[in-house]
Amino acid sequence: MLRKLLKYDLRELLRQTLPLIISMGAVSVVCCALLYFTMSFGEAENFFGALATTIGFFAIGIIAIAVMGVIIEFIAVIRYFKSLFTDEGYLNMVIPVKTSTLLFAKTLAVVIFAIVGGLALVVSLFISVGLPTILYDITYLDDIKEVLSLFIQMTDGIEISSVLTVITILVEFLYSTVALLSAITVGSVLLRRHKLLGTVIFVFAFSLIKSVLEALISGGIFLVLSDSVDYSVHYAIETVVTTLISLAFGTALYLINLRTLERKFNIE
Amino acid sequence: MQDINEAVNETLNEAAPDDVNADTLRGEPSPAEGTDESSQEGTPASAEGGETILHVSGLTKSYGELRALDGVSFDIPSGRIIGLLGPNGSGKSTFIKIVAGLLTSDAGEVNVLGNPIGVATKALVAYLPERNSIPLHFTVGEAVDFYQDFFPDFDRELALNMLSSLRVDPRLRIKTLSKGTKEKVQLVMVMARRAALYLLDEPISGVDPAARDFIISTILKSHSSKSSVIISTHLITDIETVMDGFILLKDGRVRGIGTPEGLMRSRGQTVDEYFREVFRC
Repeated sequence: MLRKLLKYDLRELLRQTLPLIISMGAVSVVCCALLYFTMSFGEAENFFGALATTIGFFAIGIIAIAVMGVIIEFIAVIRYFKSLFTDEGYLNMVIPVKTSTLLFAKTLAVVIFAIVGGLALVVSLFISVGLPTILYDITYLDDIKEVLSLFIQMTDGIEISSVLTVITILVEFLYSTVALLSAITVGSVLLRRHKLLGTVIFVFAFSLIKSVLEALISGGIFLVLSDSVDYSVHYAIETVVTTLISLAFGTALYLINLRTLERKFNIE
Repeated sequence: MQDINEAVNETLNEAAPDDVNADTLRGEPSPAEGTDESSQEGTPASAEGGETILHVSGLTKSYGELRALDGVSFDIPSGRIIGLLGPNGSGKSTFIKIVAGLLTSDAGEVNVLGNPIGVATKALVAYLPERNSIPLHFTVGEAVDFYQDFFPDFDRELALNMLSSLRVDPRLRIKTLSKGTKEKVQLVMVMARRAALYLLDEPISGVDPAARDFIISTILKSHSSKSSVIISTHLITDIETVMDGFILLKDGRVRGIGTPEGLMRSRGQTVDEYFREVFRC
């Protein structure tokens, strides 16, 4: 059943987002070409005028790519809302599957397309910025490396393993998706006539609760550990604790979402 | 003006003095059948007619201070077309949503073929909501695929034949169809299921007379002696001829249960006339 549920959501999301993904690719190719040809004419008399024009178009292109990446994720979230809290919900909520399966499928579809949106953004930015570098051997990457090394010097001594970093990023990404979907569910059910307002209220409410939890727990850890361990260990512990809070709070919100759909479901 | 409670009780006393708890939705209409106000208190468990498809006992649902359903009780055997009648706000849609599994009740018991409301009953109940619930981005063909994927009792061939008779192209997107055609397509999807219980929420409101004829003939053709149909409506004249029985809801309470024939015999009224009398403003 999960496969069938995913099939319909993913197919519709792909249909809606494919034009955007193609547009992102097209814009990134244009950006790449602009940068490449501008650099190719580096010796030309009007080079700086061409460079200024390129930078203008390039900036617009990068902003357009970023906006399209965000829109892809927005479309995925809207699909979740429409499939459960508009008239479509009358069909989706009467198919003979457990509510937990239905919610998992809907959440997974959003997560998958949030990843698709993120990947499309990264690939497009690489084509826009990275590809001209490879094609024309532009050396500005060395400048970026210098900035990065400066940042590393500033945070010297703070060592967090790459595995922990990846886990933290993944957990925070999943948490933010689950929290948003839970806010949509709880806000739409409790404020049936003002679903958008309800969603916004609960997004802020969940965010506030998590921030308070993090501040209290991290503050407690800081008080306990401040004298006994060095800063890098303390930072690593704080990162782990923050990640665990996101994991626990995200799980709680997912269960609240499920409970709300099971017990209080009511569409207009 | 005579109080409707007195009127109903008088009818019961005249028509069925020894059987005020008679469940008039069961079995063949008898001379004693009229309206049965006392069914609010529950109905006999055994069915004179077919197998009990739907059992409802003491069903109660509130929205905050508002009590949408208040101790509703009745049984519906198989092979019946039942009109669930009442004005707006009487609790019809709430009742149907609870049986469909969209809402949870506050108290009471609801069983479909002995199963409490849940995943099992969703496989037994075919629900036609008041609004179009088929995603607008679907093509008609995708809607058929969707129903086939999720409802094991869905008869694909029957659905395609019905769509063909309506001259609806399966390649058309739902959003491009007219309101009447959308309603017909949705009805086809629901009635192409071999369900035990069909719940049709206001299926004939807002459609033209020709569409009403199609809807009613589809309901008559599709349901079998092993299934029952509950049609929620306030357009009684259109379905009176096809109803085997009716349930009158007012303010969340059952105000009468009966059959059109029984009502005519006991009160000399059609269901529409009785409805107008009960709900006169």
